[in-house]
This record gives sequence, C-alpha cells and structure tokens, in this order.
Amino acid sequence: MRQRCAIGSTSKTRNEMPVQKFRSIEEMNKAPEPNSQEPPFERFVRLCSQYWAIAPKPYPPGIYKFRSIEEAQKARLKNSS
Amino acid sequence: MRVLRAFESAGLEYVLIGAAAMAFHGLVRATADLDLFIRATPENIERLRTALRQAFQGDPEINAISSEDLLGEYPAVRYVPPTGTLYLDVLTRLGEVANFETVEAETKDIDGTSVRVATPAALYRLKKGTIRLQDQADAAALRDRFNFKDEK
Repeated sequence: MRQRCAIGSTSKTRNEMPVQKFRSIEEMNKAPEPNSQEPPFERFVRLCSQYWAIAPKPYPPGIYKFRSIEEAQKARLKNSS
Repeated sequence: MRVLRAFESAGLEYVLIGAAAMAFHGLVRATADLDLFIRATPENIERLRTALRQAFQGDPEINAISSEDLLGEYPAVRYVPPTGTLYLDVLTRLGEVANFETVEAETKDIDGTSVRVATPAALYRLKKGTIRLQDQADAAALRDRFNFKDEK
C-alpha cells in the first residue's frame, strides 16, 4: 500500500535536516534529494557524468538504425546485459 | 549542454522526451542517452547533422544519418559519439501517433540556451503505456509529482 511522504516532524526545512526518517522504502524513494538547492538540470548533468564514468559502454561509436522504438529498446537491453 | 547549444545554434526543431526532459521537470535520474523527437523534414534532418558535427568535432559517422532512413523505414536512429559516453536516440515518430507535432512541449532556459522539452503530461502519456520497466517507473514518478489521475 502506498504511503504519503511525510518527512520529519521538526519545524526546519528539509534542506536543513541532517537526518530524515521514513516509514518505508517507497516513502524514502519519493523524498526529494537533500541537496535540492541545486537546479534539477544541473543535478542531472552531474549525476550523468558520474554515471558515465563508471557505467559500461554498451556501444562502440557510430550510427545504429531501428525500424521501431521496440527494436531500439531490445538492442539496448541486449547490449547492456 | 554542448549538444543543446548546438541544437539551438543550428535551428533544429526538436523536443526532448526522455530522462533529460524529466530532469527539467524536477525528476532527476541518471541516463545513458538523450531521447528526442525531431520534425520529420529533410531540412530539419540536415540541421540535425549540422548540430551534431558542431558538437562532436565533425565526426564523419554523422554522415550516415540520412533523411531517407529517418523519413522512411528507420524512424529511430541512435548516434554514439566518439566520446563513447552519452548517446542520442533521435526519433521522427513513435508508433502510429506520436511525433514532433503531436507532443506538447514548452521552452526552458538553461544557461541562456533555449531547450524544447515535452510537458509533464506529454511525457506521462508517452511513458504510461509502455512495457519497459524504466518507463513505467518514470510514469509513476510523473503521476505522483504532478497528480495525474487517469490511471494507476
């Protein structure tokens, strides 16, 4: 069952809270990142940079053509497994 | 950012639809690719090639992106640049109905660059009916964030 996200019980804002408490993993996943002062797109770029540094490279450079998005997704799964 | 600036510089007609679009709406996750619809015209596909050459130092592989493919049998083209990091999934259509013209979009500004981004509702419509687990998770995140009510 889904629970509504109810973070903390103090009067401080979430960015000031060193500790956040959650009743479930779902509640935790829904919570905003503590460092949410950073604009979302900049956070996205930073996160992707970290990801690209450690993630396997599924494709050699080049062009790949697909007849449908399903075909593209199958190729992605095949190359990432 | 270099890619988005090159899109603007080349006058490419596009709309971001994947994780990058989600990020503009505050839903941030890592991704390996940049998904976009482009307007399906030969002129716009030439703009795409121009933008990619500008962003990726004239990579000769870009010459293999053709109007013949994108307007014909291959509406999805994946470009993996020499850097081997982020790759681009360029679409002219998705199934029978989704394309550049049908996806509702808005313009965002990032560091002085205008970026066309699918609206949360448009992203939700694109993702909610798919079988890919990541798309289902994205649809759930959009539904929760923007209180979309039409289905669970």
